[in-house]
Amino acid sequence: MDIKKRIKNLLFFHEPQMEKPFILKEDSSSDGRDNSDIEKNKEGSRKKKNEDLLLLKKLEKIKLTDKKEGSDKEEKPDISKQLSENKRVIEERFSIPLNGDLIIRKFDITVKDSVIAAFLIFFDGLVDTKVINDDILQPLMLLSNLDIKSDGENILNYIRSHILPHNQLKEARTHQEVIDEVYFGGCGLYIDGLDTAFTADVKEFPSRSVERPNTELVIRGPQEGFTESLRSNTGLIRKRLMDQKLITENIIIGKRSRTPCSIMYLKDIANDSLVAEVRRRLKSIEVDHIMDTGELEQFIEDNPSLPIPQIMATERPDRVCTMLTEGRVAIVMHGSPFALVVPITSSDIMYSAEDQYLRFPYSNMLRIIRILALLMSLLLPGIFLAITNYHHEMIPTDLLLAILSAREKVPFPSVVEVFLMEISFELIREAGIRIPGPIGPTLGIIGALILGQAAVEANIVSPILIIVVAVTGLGSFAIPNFSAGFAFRILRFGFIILAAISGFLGITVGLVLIGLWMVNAKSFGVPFVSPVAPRTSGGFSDAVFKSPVWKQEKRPDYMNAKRGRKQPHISRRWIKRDVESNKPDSEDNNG
Amino acid sequence: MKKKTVFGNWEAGAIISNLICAKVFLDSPRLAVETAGTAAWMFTIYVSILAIIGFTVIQRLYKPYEGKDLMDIAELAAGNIGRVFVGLVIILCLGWSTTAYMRLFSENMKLISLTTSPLSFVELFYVVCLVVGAYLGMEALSRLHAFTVIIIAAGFLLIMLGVVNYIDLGNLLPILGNGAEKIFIKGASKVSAFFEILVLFLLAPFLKKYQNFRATGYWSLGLSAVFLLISSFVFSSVFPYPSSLERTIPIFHIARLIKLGRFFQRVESLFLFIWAASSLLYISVTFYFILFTFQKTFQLDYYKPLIIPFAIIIMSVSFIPSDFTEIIGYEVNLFRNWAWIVAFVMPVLLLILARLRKKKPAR
Repeated sequence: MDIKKRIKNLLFFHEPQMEKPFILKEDSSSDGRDNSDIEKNKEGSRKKKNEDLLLLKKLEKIKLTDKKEGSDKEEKPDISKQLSENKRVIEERFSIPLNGDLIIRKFDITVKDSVIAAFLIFFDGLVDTKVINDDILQPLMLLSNLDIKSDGENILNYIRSHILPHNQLKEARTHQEVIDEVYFGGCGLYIDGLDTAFTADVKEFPSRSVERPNTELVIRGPQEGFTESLRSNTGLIRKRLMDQKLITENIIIGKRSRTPCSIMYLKDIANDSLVAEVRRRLKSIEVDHIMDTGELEQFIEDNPSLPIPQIMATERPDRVCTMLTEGRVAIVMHGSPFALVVPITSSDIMYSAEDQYLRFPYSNMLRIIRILALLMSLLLPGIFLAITNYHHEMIPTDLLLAILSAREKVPFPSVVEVFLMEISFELIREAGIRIPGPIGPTLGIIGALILGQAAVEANIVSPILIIVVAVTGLGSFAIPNFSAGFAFRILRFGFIILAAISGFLGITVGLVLIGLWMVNAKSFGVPFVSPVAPRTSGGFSDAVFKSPVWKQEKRPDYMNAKRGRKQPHISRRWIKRDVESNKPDSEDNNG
Repeated sequence: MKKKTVFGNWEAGAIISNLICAKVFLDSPRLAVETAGTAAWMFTIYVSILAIIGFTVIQRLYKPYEGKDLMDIAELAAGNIGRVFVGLVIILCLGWSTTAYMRLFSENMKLISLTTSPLSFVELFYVVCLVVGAYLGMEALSRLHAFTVIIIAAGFLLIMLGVVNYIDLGNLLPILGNGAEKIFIKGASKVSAFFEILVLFLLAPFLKKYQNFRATGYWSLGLSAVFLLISSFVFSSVFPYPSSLERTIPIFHIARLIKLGRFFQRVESLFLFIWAASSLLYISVTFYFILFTFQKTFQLDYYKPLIIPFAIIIMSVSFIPSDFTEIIGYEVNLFRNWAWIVAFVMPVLLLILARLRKKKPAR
């Protein structure tokens, strides 16, 4: 039935569904933008002004609906003044007594000669019990008996101002707020007679300490990576990016998991509509549980079928900071050691964090090597097949004879050989990740045996093919983005098939189709192949090469940041002697 | 909701330049030699100047019709009938270009590398590309052109540079080749080599401003003229006149001469990449504009349902000519002799008629 429907859908025309397109435009509030930027980006802005008015209206409409939905969702205060009622609700929501690790501690507070009942809730294992004892229970049970001078305040203010010395005390008007805090390692305090509860941050999760990143190693640059704890991750970003305008918005995703996330951006740089779009996409996710940014990425990406990732997942706080300064938005999620950064372009996935720290000739050389690595990883087996099957004339006679004599005893056609070797290589790679540590070295032996001597000696594959597969493997490891590495590995098989059936024509068709696919994609409203296609200022040079750090004056044009310029035209003021005092000149003269 | 695509001069210039120059990889240099003999380069300059003059006249007349394409202008000039008539003419011409180029490029591919594959199999690759291109639309096609055309141009220039040592200026003598009459009078109709400028008049709504339209026109004509000139100059100076008439695929034969030391002696297959890319882009764009014109002519809401039927028609028609020579005969003797009427005369007449009817569009 399902297949029947699919075929019908494929063959018959359907009215296009109304979509909610998002295009990243220049912000109306970009007052801080330099005049020179505006002048120089004339071409870009002209294009943007010409965009369809309907799209703008649509965007506005979406924003309005979003706002409305947001206000609808705001919960009404539901905490009762009756402590017993609140306790009943909490016990029901936390499935007490079934739930064994939730602690409900009942006690009395003496406030102004009256004894008030109260209870505290927290999860055993998520909190620092010493902080609870010292900063919450002790003051409430012992200090409340002290004669504290106060000027007739109500109990709520009195407790907040005089009794509880904890540094992160919040008031909650709904049970849900309390529950969210408790799940995030806080504790909730209910007091009889008050329709407001207190929540305090006392978390002490069992978590990893800050370690070196596993997938984005660098030689030059910081060596810290994110951990699985949200606040330590946001802290790592704040530690580096000490900017007053750095905003961390909290958001909860997952109807049941209630996973805390943070959206981080620089308020006076990031485009408002971009921030709003990130917020809108995150808020609109309807899912029970969400565990990692890997899942979150799939919920918010623009083109799920495009093999290449359109969102940057990084475990380097320094990389997030650099991208934030360009006007991008970061999403950090509790429980994930990878932060997401949006939007990105195709060139971002080819760059490593180290590029920024190395001197520009070195990083440019690395970039060229990486582009070569990408081409090899994608095309080398395909080109080998195309040349050996269709374009033999390209191979000089001596080499052709060498290849032929090596293949003489191999019974398979070359395409089968390539597939055998590529699949074996993928197997070894996958097994290498799954294999338990102590038996790891065994894999090396098996791999060497399969891919090396034995296969050749058994006349299953020719030696030249081993070189091709090995170089392809090296190329795929040199791609700095983990997800992009996957993408090119999948596409490589497509190119092998195309090359096997039609040589260079097939490869060209494959490149054109991937090209069309990529230029059609967007990452949060930014064309994925910017600044090359569509061409914006900087264009081709920015996409491949990096200029010296003192020449990187502008933020990427396609980001449409509120401030286009990062630094003045002359950022190395020392090169202009007349700017400062004439001291160097006079010294020179004296000399 | 329909999304309006807008792109810049760079993308538009790349599209038009590739459309005009794709024929370099087919038969353009040989045609120049056939018409003008050893004066092929002079003939190319002459034809280019004619095309630029033609465009200058059109762009002057076009000024008040900013953002309007040829069908809009036809509607202003002669109402619905005018629009339908012009639309059908454009569909026929672009249809022929797509069909002929698909067949010619496929035949060439078969001749060069896929000798044992059936023609229909080779054409299938082209059909897949034009279907995907049309499905993704003009925005994707224009963006793809933005960087691919640079790679194609660089590859072409590399071939030309690779045979510099084979250039013999003696092959260009006699200076006037087949004679002034054949070059300047009979050769004038070969301005149809620039027939693809017609697509610029369909691109106008994507460019919006008149200034963009004008700049794109001049830039693409200028660049195309340079590339056509380089190809005809190198071809006629590398091969002696009698021998050059026998070369079926001129650029391929030029590329075969390239030798880089002892190791790289047969690198022409590498240039298959740029030939294939240029031809794939050519037919994808012309196919898109067939659909675009059909949609506009008959005022349809969507063009996507037309993609598969039109692709089947194009592929089927391309099989009608019995062989390579027959299709070259139609292309060279018929289409490229008369296409200038559609590309240059028709727009001028329409613009004059529209002006006469004084139905100037509101900006």
